[in-house]
Amino acid sequence: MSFSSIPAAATRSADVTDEAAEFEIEPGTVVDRRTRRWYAVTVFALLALGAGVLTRESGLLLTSAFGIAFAGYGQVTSPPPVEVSVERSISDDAPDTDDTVAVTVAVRNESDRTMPDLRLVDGVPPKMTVAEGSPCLATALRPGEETTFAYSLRARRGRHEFEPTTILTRDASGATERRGTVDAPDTVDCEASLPSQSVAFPLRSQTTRHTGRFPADTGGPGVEFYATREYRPGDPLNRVDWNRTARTGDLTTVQYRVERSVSVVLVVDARQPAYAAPAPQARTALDAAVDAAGHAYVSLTDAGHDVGLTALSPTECWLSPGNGDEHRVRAREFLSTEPALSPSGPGAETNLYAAVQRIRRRAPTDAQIVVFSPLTDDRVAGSAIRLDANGHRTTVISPDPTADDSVGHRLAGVRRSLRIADLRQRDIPVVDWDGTEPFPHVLARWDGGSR
Amino acid sequence: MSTRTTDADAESIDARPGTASVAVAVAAALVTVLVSATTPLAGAVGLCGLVVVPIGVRRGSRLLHRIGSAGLFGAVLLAGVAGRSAVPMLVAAGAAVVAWDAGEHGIGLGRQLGHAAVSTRAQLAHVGVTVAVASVVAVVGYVVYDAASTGQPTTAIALLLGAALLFTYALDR
Repeated sequence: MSFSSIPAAATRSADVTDEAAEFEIEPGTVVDRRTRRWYAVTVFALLALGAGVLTRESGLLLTSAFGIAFAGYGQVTSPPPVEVSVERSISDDAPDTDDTVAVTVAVRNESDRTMPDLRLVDGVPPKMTVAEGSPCLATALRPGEETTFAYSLRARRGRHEFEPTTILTRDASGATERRGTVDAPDTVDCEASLPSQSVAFPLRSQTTRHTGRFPADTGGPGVEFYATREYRPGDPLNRVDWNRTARTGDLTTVQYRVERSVSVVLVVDARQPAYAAPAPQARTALDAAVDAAGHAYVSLTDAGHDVGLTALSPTECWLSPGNGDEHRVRAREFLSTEPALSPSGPGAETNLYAAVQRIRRRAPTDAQIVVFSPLTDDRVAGSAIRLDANGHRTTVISPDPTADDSVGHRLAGVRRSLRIADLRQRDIPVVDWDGTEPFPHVLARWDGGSR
Repeated sequence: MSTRTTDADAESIDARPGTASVAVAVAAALVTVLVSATTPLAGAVGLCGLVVVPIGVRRGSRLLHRIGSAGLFGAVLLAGVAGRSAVPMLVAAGAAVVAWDAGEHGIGLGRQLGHAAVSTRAQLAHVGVTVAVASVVAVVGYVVYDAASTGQPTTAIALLLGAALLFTYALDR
């Protein structure tokens, strides 16, 4: 509940007629605007007056009285003060991504004057979209009267704050419009929930010492047949291929494919270019990347790997590779509320070199790296190549933010394809994803590229 | 480079006005045309206005609404020139003002708040006040006319009205 009363001294008169003009108005001040909407009637009155004199028709003269009356009417009335209280009730202030949040707004005329024309635009958080209804209302309110209206928002990841509600009051004639704002702070916290289903996430082949569930290209103890070799003293007797011994007389040891666990660091590109989207209201590449990182995290931890999270961003953030329920909670928090991944953009340049150095310093030496980036510039592609060259087997997941509605946009798309081709030529697998198709489908279709 | 979500306002909004404004504008325009169509020319001009005003208001087009309103006002002027008497002239002119006002108000609402916004109450309140004011003006005008129409020269009345018009402008400054 908030209440705003505006002293008359704060009134500023603006001689602006363009109603589309957007003012930035501090809470507590108002701007008056003359709509000049009665000018047409005045012109008609003058014409009638002139024609009446020329033709000496009393009926014409009489009609010019309307012009005079309405011109004066617009002057004698003044818009009521912006004394309105706005109370918002939100059905769910901690929704999941893509949930619909119902918002009900109660508006009350707190002044002692009737508001014949009260217009109100609720301060919908900039990164949320209206799913149903309209956050706007036009009504007439007597003193102390209250009305409510409702609309619903589509929840998007992150913390969203409602902006001040814009109020427009007009006098009955509509000749003057007064614009002010009323603060009604509310927040919606939308946590991205991790997907419940895991998918086969394509990791690259790996050689490490620790036993796990990732099939390595090495023979040893395991489940799946890998190769046979000559018996060496010390080999367990149950591994000896006795059929072969019976046939040939030689002792042979069967080797199975070794399954190893892998440390994986998921790196989300959260630099300003990653906030690109194919259309103004479409999902940004970053939001798509965070979604994909959630799928990758669940799939890889379910497969027994240790997974860490970090971002290429101006601010440092790091979740060490790990596994288990507690780590999963921390990963969920990281993907939902980490400031570096906020949906509104970093607003600062990212030192990409330093960010990559940080990853190299902190990631385990044999860790694989999965980079989630729209690949909208050469530098991030270069970073992926550098990480790969430093011994971290790197995979790139690339949500496509490019559009094809103009030559420039198509050129950006072509340059991105060239970057992808270049990475693939360097044996770095790239998953090219349009960002709208469900990520598990893309993985299911993807044949793994080069392993 | 693709567009960023920070240019969020690019999504086109439906700026059509609410139905109440359209209905009132059409009804008032109809009254104007019925009362003012004393000559074929006035009738034709008024009919053009009657057709164009609803299209303009319906589509939220200021230009079409202005053209249509000009037709309505033109029809009233032509009827007056042709010698229509005081009471029908007051009714026709008053209805033309209401048609213009309802349409303009509806278009403004549509542009500011969009078609989806609930605005019927504001539209009806505004139109109600305008109709009331126009009725008072018509009645007062007719009473003054009736009392004063005892042989005063038209020029004197015209000068008086002109002076009143200038006076209201002087109040404005």
